[in-house]
Amino acid sequence: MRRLTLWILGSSIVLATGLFQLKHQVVRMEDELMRIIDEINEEKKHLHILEAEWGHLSNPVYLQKLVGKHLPSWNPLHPTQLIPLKAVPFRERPLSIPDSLFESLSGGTK
Amino acid sequence: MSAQKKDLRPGENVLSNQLKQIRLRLLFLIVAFMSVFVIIQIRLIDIMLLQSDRLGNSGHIYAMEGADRGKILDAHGNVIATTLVTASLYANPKMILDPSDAAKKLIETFPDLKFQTVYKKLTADKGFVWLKRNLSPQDQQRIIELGLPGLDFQYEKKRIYPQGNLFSHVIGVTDIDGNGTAGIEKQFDHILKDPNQQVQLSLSLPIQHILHDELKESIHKFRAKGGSAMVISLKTGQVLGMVSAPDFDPNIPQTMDAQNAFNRNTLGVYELGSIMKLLNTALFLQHGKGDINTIFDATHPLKIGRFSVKDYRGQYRPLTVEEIFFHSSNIGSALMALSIGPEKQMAFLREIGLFDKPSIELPEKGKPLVPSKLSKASCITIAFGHGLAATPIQFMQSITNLFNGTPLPLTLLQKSSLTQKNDSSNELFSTKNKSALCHLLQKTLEEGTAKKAKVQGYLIGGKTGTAEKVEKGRYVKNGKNLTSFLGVFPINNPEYLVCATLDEPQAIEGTYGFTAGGWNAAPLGGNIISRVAPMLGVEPTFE
Repeated sequence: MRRLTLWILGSSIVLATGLFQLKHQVVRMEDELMRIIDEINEEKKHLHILEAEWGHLSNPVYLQKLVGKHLPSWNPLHPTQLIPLKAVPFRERPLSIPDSLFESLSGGTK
Repeated sequence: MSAQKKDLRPGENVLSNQLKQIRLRLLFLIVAFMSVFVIIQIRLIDIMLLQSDRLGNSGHIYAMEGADRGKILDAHGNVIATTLVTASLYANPKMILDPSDAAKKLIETFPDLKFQTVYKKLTADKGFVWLKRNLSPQDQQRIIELGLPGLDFQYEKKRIYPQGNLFSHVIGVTDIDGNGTAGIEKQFDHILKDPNQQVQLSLSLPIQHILHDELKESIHKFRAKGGSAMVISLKTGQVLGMVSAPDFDPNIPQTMDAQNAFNRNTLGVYELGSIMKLLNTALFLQHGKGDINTIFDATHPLKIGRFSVKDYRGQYRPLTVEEIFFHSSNIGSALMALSIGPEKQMAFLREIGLFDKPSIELPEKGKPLVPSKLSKASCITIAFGHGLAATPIQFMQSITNLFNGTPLPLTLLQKSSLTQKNDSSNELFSTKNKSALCHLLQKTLEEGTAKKAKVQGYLIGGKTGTAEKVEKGRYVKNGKNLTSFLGVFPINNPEYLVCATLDEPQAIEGTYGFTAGGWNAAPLGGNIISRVAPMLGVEPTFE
């Protein structure tokens, strides 16, 4: 009987302490969560502003005005300036590689 | 001994009774404690295991406070509508120490404000006056740095459209409470009300800009009242660009009046003139009554009652179907339609979706005007594009269906098109007839009425249209036309559709007094294609 009483008393103290700790941990974590949420909201607001600013800055009408002002000789791309990728000839070998290096490689041809 | 036993017995009885009572109380306490702990344990398990999702969600919901409306993006993810929390500056004049100094500092920060106005506000006998609404973060910082007492900020949410006029008719606007009142804002209001959601459109910002730029240029050049332009993908049914003019800036609601807010592409119901001959030729070919070499006699005008159908540029001879299309002969087209009959004509137009409710995701949609009675006269006029009016988007829907072979609903959304694809085996238009139509369109563009839309390096097919406008129930004969151009490219494997219209274009130097579609809408269409095609990855071919 006494053992049971002691066990109940002991376990209730342990549980109460655990519960108290848990409650404090939860409160701490809730505070942390609120702080993080506030930060996220603040960052989101900044992101929204930056996105809107980027939208304004990348607005093609605005860019076209800038091009007209600073690059007056630039014109929209004309189809005659385009060729298919297949029609682009391959260079025989990269110019940046000196001949000597190319010759030293096994199987390298000049 | 026995006396003692006798004395003890009642004592023992009392003791055992007390022990029993203590045990009972202990048991009661144990049960009470145990049940309290069991309740605590159940609650802990409930919180830790069962309700963990709910707690997570509550944080999530809280995290989304701040923005109150979802974003609208273009096909490439560019923001075209977003909500910002902006600071508005107000003053409490009773707390301003030196109104003259404060006003001076404020006009230095905001040169658009006037000293007298600000000074008057700061000396008013009020507790609250607005000084400037919706400040940028930089302006807000500058005000904070001034350190003036009596000034403060109120935070407001504002819908921002960074692309200005480019998407005005499609995107629409919201009211002061943030409810969508027009365009996509209204159509997807239920989705956009959730700040975690966003709507991605199939419209592309660069294409939208090209359409806007070219349309504005043509309206100015031909002194037109307005116009519209669209680019549509024939493979997916996605609308890649849609512009209508005149337009408005959704950031400045005052610029949105009835005329500017009118989306000509989806709300304007027009007779598109000779563009209808494309559908008429499709009708003729589909019914197998002949091919593009079948001959109709277009020598004399066609009489219907007291009216007669004439050709704009009469050839006065028998013409093949190819020549009828190429010369845009009204007489020939009418004879082609009569050979099929009014019932089959209407059935075909209904089948290719000309009379359906447009699938496009906009609340502003016009209904087609269809003749109430089928007759020989209606059959003749419909053949060359009069007597039947529909929105340009509806015409484009039926042409998309024709080129696709099966119904393919047009969409303004980036994702839905793939799920909307219809694998119906019921073919609307055969591949052989489609090739014939492509041949006719290519010939018309290269040598016929649409040759001003020619773009060096691209194989294009096209058809122009010129419709006299209807005013008070009568056709206006004083050159008030609605001209249009329909382009398909690359014509050897049709992938994209371009539609451009101009409202009342005027004759200018170089058009020799003409106001027909070939002189104004065709060059507009050509300019659009020459800029849009490289962007869409269509390779030019030089032979």
